Amino acid sequence: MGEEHYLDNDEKSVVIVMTSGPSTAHRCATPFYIGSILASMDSDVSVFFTMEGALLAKKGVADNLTAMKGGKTILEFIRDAKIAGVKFHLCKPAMPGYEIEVDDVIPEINEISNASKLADLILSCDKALFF
Amino acid sequence: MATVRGCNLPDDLFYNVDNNVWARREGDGTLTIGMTAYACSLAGEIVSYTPKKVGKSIDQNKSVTTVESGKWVGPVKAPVAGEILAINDAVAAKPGSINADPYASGWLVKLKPSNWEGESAGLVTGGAVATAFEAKMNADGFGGC
Repeated sequence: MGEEHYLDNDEKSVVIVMTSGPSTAHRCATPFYIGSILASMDSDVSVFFTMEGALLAKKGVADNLTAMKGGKTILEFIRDAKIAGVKFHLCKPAMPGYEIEVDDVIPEINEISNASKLADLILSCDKALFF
Repeated sequence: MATVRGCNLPDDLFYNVDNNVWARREGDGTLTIGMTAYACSLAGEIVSYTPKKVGKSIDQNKSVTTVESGKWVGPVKAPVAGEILAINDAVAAKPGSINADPYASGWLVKLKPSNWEGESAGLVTGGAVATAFEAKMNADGFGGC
Protein backbone atom coordinates (compact mmCIF):
# COMPACT_ATOMS: atom_id res chain seq x y z
CA MET A 1 0.00 0.00 0.00
CA GLY A 2 1.04 3.59 -0.35
CA GLU A 3 1.06 6.36 2.19
CA GLU A 4 -2.54 5.73 3.15
CA HIS A 5 -3.00 2.57 5.13
CA TYR A 6 -6.66 2.93 6.03
CA LEU A 7 -9.70 1.54 4.28
CA ASP A 8 -11.67 4.21 2.42
CA ASN A 9 -14.53 2.61 0.57
CA ASP A 10 -18.12 1.57 0.95
CA GLU A 11 -18.89 -2.06 1.52
CA LYS A 12 -19.44 -4.09 -1.65
CA SER A 13 -20.97 -7.35 -2.68
CA VAL A 14 -18.50 -9.79 -4.17
CA VAL A 15 -18.96 -13.18 -5.78
CA ILE A 16 -15.98 -15.51 -6.08
CA VAL A 17 -16.46 -18.20 -8.70
CA MET A 18 -14.30 -21.12 -7.64
CA THR A 19 -13.53 -23.37 -10.60
CA SER A 20 -10.11 -24.62 -9.44
CA GLY A 21 -9.96 -27.95 -7.69
CA PRO A 22 -7.65 -30.75 -6.58
CA SER A 23 -5.74 -30.91 -9.87
CA THR A 24 -4.52 -27.34 -9.26
CA ALA A 25 -4.22 -27.36 -5.49
CA HIS A 26 -1.89 -24.34 -5.52
CA ARG A 27 -4.87 -22.25 -6.71
CA CYS A 28 -7.22 -23.35 -3.95
CA ALA A 29 -6.24 -21.36 -0.85
CA THR A 30 -5.96 -17.72 -1.93
CA PRO A 31 -9.57 -17.37 -3.11
CA PHE A 32 -10.80 -18.25 0.37
CA TYR A 33 -8.22 -16.00 2.02
CA ILE A 34 -9.20 -12.98 -0.06
CA GLY A 35 -12.82 -13.87 0.62
CA SER A 36 -12.06 -13.79 4.33
CA ILE A 37 -10.43 -10.39 4.02
CA LEU A 38 -13.33 -8.96 2.02
CA ALA A 39 -15.87 -10.31 4.49
CA SER A 40 -13.80 -8.93 7.36
CA MET A 41 -14.13 -5.55 5.68
CA ASP A 42 -17.92 -6.00 5.83
CA SER A 43 -18.37 -6.86 2.18
CA ASP A 44 -21.10 -9.36 1.35
CA VAL A 45 -19.11 -12.28 -0.04
CA SER A 46 -20.37 -15.42 -1.75
CA VAL A 47 -18.24 -18.27 -3.08
CA PHE A 48 -19.80 -20.40 -5.80
CA PHE A 49 -18.14 -23.79 -6.27
CA THR A 50 -18.48 -24.98 -9.84
CA MET A 51 -16.63 -27.05 -12.46
CA GLU A 52 -13.73 -28.87 -10.71
CA GLY A 53 -14.09 -26.52 -7.75
CA ALA A 54 -17.22 -28.45 -6.84
CA LEU A 55 -14.96 -31.25 -5.61
CA LEU A 56 -13.73 -29.00 -2.79
CA ALA A 57 -17.22 -29.25 -1.33
CA LYS A 58 -17.06 -33.05 -1.22
CA LYS A 59 -16.24 -34.58 2.15
CA GLY A 60 -12.71 -35.92 2.31
CA VAL A 61 -11.29 -33.69 -0.43
CA ALA A 62 -10.49 -30.25 1.03
CA ASP A 63 -9.33 -31.71 4.34
CA ASN A 64 -6.69 -33.71 2.49
CA LEU A 65 -5.50 -30.91 0.22
CA THR A 66 -3.00 -28.09 0.75
CA ALA A 67 -1.93 -25.28 -1.57
CA MET A 68 1.60 -25.39 -0.23
CA LYS A 69 3.62 -28.20 1.29
CA GLY A 70 3.11 -28.13 5.04
CA GLY A 71 0.49 -25.39 4.84
CA LYS A 72 -3.03 -25.24 6.19
CA THR A 73 -5.55 -27.53 4.57
CA ILE A 74 -8.01 -26.04 2.11
CA LEU A 75 -10.80 -27.03 4.48
CA GLU A 76 -9.20 -24.82 7.15
CA PHE A 77 -9.19 -21.92 4.68
CA ILE A 78 -12.85 -22.62 3.91
CA ARG A 79 -13.72 -22.69 7.60
CA ASP A 80 -11.86 -19.43 8.29
CA ALA A 81 -13.80 -17.80 5.47
CA LYS A 82 -17.04 -19.15 6.86
CA ILE A 83 -16.24 -17.68 10.28
CA ALA A 84 -15.49 -14.33 8.62
CA GLY A 85 -18.96 -14.36 7.09
CA VAL A 86 -18.49 -15.80 3.61
CA LYS A 87 -21.45 -17.72 2.19
CA PHE A 88 -20.91 -20.87 0.15
CA HIS A 89 -22.91 -22.17 -2.80
CA LEU A 90 -22.35 -25.50 -4.51
CA CYS A 91 -23.29 -25.83 -8.17
CA LYS A 92 -26.04 -28.41 -8.40
CA PRO A 93 -25.49 -29.16 -12.12
CA ALA A 94 -21.82 -29.97 -11.42
CA MET A 95 -22.60 -32.60 -8.80
CA PRO A 96 -23.46 -35.63 -10.98
CA GLY A 97 -20.36 -35.27 -13.16
CA TYR A 98 -18.11 -35.24 -10.11
CA GLU A 99 -20.11 -37.97 -8.37
CA ILE A 100 -21.12 -35.80 -5.45
CA GLU A 101 -24.26 -36.83 -3.58
CA VAL A 102 -26.07 -34.48 -1.20
CA ASP A 103 -24.87 -36.57 1.74
CA ASP A 104 -21.26 -36.10 0.56
CA VAL A 105 -21.37 -32.29 0.88
CA ILE A 106 -19.35 -30.61 3.63
CA PRO A 107 -21.50 -28.82 6.22
CA GLU A 108 -19.85 -25.48 5.45
CA ILE A 109 -21.94 -25.22 2.26
CA ASN A 110 -24.88 -22.88 2.80
CA GLU A 111 -26.83 -23.80 -0.29
CA ILE A 112 -26.84 -26.21 -3.22
CA SER A 113 -27.72 -23.84 -6.04
CA ASN A 114 -28.69 -23.96 -9.67
CA ALA A 115 -26.75 -22.14 -12.36
CA SER A 116 -29.41 -19.46 -12.40
CA LYS A 117 -28.33 -18.56 -8.87
CA LEU A 118 -24.78 -18.02 -10.10
CA ALA A 119 -26.11 -15.87 -12.93
CA ASP A 120 -28.13 -13.83 -10.45
CA LEU A 121 -25.13 -13.41 -8.14
CA ILE A 122 -22.95 -12.24 -11.02
CA LEU A 123 -25.53 -9.79 -12.33
CA SER A 124 -26.32 -8.32 -8.93
CA CYS A 125 -22.87 -8.11 -7.35
CA ASP A 126 -20.38 -5.23 -7.42
CA LYS A 127 -17.37 -7.43 -8.17
CA ALA A 128 -17.02 -10.91 -9.60
CA LEU A 129 -13.74 -12.80 -9.25
CA PHE A 130 -12.92 -16.03 -11.03
CA PHE A 131 -10.35 -18.50 -9.76
CA MET B 1 -6.76 -7.21 36.45
CA ALA B 2 -8.31 -10.58 35.75
CA THR B 3 -6.06 -13.34 34.48
CA VAL B 4 -7.73 -16.32 32.84
CA ARG B 5 -5.60 -19.22 31.59
CA GLY B 6 -2.60 -16.93 31.42
CA CYS B 7 -4.41 -14.21 29.46
CA ASN B 8 -4.52 -10.74 31.01
CA LEU B 9 -8.01 -9.23 30.89
CA PRO B 10 -8.13 -5.88 32.73
CA ASP B 11 -11.44 -5.71 34.57
CA ASP B 12 -11.79 -1.94 34.22
CA LEU B 13 -12.43 -2.37 30.48
CA PHE B 14 -15.70 -3.20 28.72
CA TYR B 15 -15.72 -6.39 26.64
CA ASN B 16 -17.74 -7.98 23.92
CA VAL B 17 -16.70 -11.48 24.89
CA ASP B 18 -17.97 -13.25 21.76
CA ASN B 19 -16.04 -10.85 19.52
CA ASN B 20 -12.98 -10.83 21.80
CA VAL B 21 -12.74 -7.04 21.75
CA TRP B 22 -12.35 -4.46 24.50
CA ALA B 23 -13.32 -0.81 24.93
CA ARG B 24 -11.90 1.72 27.39
CA ARG B 25 -14.09 4.72 28.18
CA GLU B 26 -11.90 7.80 28.35
CA GLY B 27 -12.56 10.89 30.46
CA ASP B 28 -14.06 12.78 27.53
CA GLY B 29 -16.56 10.02 26.75
CA THR B 30 -14.69 8.69 23.73
CA LEU B 31 -13.65 5.05 23.49
CA THR B 32 -10.39 3.29 22.78
CA ILE B 33 -10.89 -0.11 21.12
CA GLY B 34 -8.58 -3.10 20.91
CA MET B 35 -8.14 -6.86 20.75
CA THR B 36 -7.93 -8.91 23.91
CA ALA B 37 -4.80 -10.83 24.82
CA TYR B 38 -6.88 -13.94 24.18
CA ALA B 39 -7.67 -12.79 20.64
CA CYS B 40 -4.00 -12.01 20.06
CA SER B 41 -3.03 -15.48 21.21
CA LEU B 42 -5.55 -17.08 18.87
CA ALA B 43 -4.41 -14.97 15.92
CA GLY B 44 -0.68 -15.35 16.39
CA GLU B 45 1.77 -12.65 15.33
CA ILE B 46 -0.22 -9.95 13.55
CA VAL B 47 1.38 -8.72 10.34
CA SER B 48 -1.26 -6.43 8.85
CA TYR B 49 -3.64 -3.79 10.20
CA THR B 50 -6.20 -2.14 7.91
CA PRO B 51 -8.55 0.15 9.81
CA LYS B 52 -11.55 1.97 8.45
CA LYS B 53 -11.06 5.64 7.64
CA VAL B 54 -11.27 8.35 10.30
CA GLY B 55 -14.72 9.93 10.14
CA LYS B 56 -16.50 6.74 9.12
CA SER B 57 -19.56 5.73 11.12
CA ILE B 58 -19.54 2.11 12.20
CA ASP B 59 -22.55 0.10 13.35
CA GLN B 60 -22.28 -2.06 16.44
CA ASN B 61 -20.63 -5.42 15.64
CA LYS B 62 -19.31 -4.19 12.29
CA SER B 63 -15.62 -4.14 11.52
CA VAL B 64 -13.45 -1.22 12.61
CA THR B 65 -10.31 -2.85 11.26
CA THR B 66 -9.14 -5.98 9.52
CA VAL B 67 -6.09 -7.75 10.94
CA GLU B 68 -4.03 -10.53 9.42
CA SER B 69 -1.53 -12.93 10.85
CA GLY B 70 0.33 -15.64 9.07
CA LYS B 71 -2.43 -18.09 9.87
CA TRP B 72 -5.61 -16.04 10.17
CA VAL B 73 -7.45 -13.01 8.84
CA GLY B 74 -10.46 -11.45 10.45
CA PRO B 75 -12.35 -8.38 11.54
CA VAL B 76 -12.21 -6.57 14.85
CA LYS B 77 -15.80 -5.59 15.52
CA ALA B 78 -17.03 -2.42 17.18
CA PRO B 79 -18.42 -3.21 20.65
CA VAL B 80 -20.77 -0.25 20.24
CA ALA B 81 -21.71 1.96 17.31
CA GLY B 82 -19.82 5.16 16.71
CA GLU B 83 -17.61 7.32 14.54
CA ILE B 84 -13.93 6.57 14.10
CA LEU B 85 -11.92 9.45 15.55
CA ALA B 86 -8.39 8.09 15.20
CA ILE B 87 -6.41 5.15 13.92
CA ASN B 88 -3.07 3.99 15.27
CA ASP B 89 -0.21 4.95 12.94
CA ALA B 90 2.32 3.24 15.19
CA VAL B 91 0.43 -0.04 14.86
CA ALA B 92 0.22 0.44 11.10
CA ALA B 93 3.99 0.74 11.02
CA LYS B 94 4.49 -2.22 13.37
CA PRO B 95 1.40 -4.46 13.57
CA GLY B 96 3.16 -6.84 15.96
CA SER B 97 2.75 -4.22 18.67
CA ILE B 98 -0.88 -5.36 18.90
CA ASN B 99 0.38 -8.68 20.29
CA ALA B 100 3.08 -7.07 22.40
CA ASP B 101 0.86 -4.52 24.14
CA PRO B 102 -2.82 -5.15 23.34
CA TYR B 103 -4.29 -2.89 26.04
CA ALA B 104 -2.05 0.16 25.67
CA SER B 105 0.17 1.02 22.69
CA GLY B 106 -1.50 -1.72 20.60
CA TRP B 107 -4.92 -0.02 20.56
CA LEU B 108 -6.72 -0.19 17.21
CA VAL B 109 -9.11 2.77 16.88
CA LYS B 110 -10.57 5.62 18.89
CA LEU B 111 -14.34 5.83 18.64
CA LYS B 112 -16.96 8.48 19.42
CA PRO B 113 -19.87 6.33 20.59
CA SER B 114 -23.32 7.20 19.27
CA ASN B 115 -25.35 5.30 21.87
CA TRP B 116 -23.08 4.34 24.73
CA GLU B 117 -25.81 4.25 27.35
CA GLY B 118 -28.03 2.01 25.28
CA GLU B 119 -25.43 -0.37 23.88
CA SER B 120 -22.87 -0.66 26.67
CA ALA B 121 -25.32 -2.61 28.81
CA GLY B 122 -24.54 -5.65 26.70
CA LEU B 123 -20.82 -5.47 27.44
CA VAL B 124 -19.05 -7.30 30.25
CA THR B 125 -16.95 -5.46 32.82
CA GLY B 126 -15.66 -5.68 36.39
CA GLY B 127 -16.18 -8.86 38.34
CA ALA B 128 -18.00 -10.60 35.48
CA VAL B 129 -14.98 -10.54 33.15
CA ALA B 130 -13.13 -13.60 34.40
CA THR B 131 -16.21 -15.82 34.51
CA ALA B 132 -17.33 -14.79 31.03
CA PHE B 133 -13.94 -15.45 29.43
CA GLU B 134 -13.47 -18.72 31.29
CA ALA B 135 -16.78 -19.87 29.78
CA LYS B 136 -15.72 -18.73 26.31
CA MET B 137 -12.34 -20.45 26.57
CA ASN B 138 -14.07 -23.63 27.66
CA ALA B 139 -16.44 -23.45 24.70
CA ASP B 140 -13.56 -22.70 22.32
CA GLY B 141 -11.34 -25.44 23.74
CA PHE B 142 -8.62 -22.85 24.31
CA GLY B 143 -5.52 -24.03 26.13
CA GLY B 144 -4.19 -20.66 27.30
CA CYS B 145 -2.10 -17.64 26.38
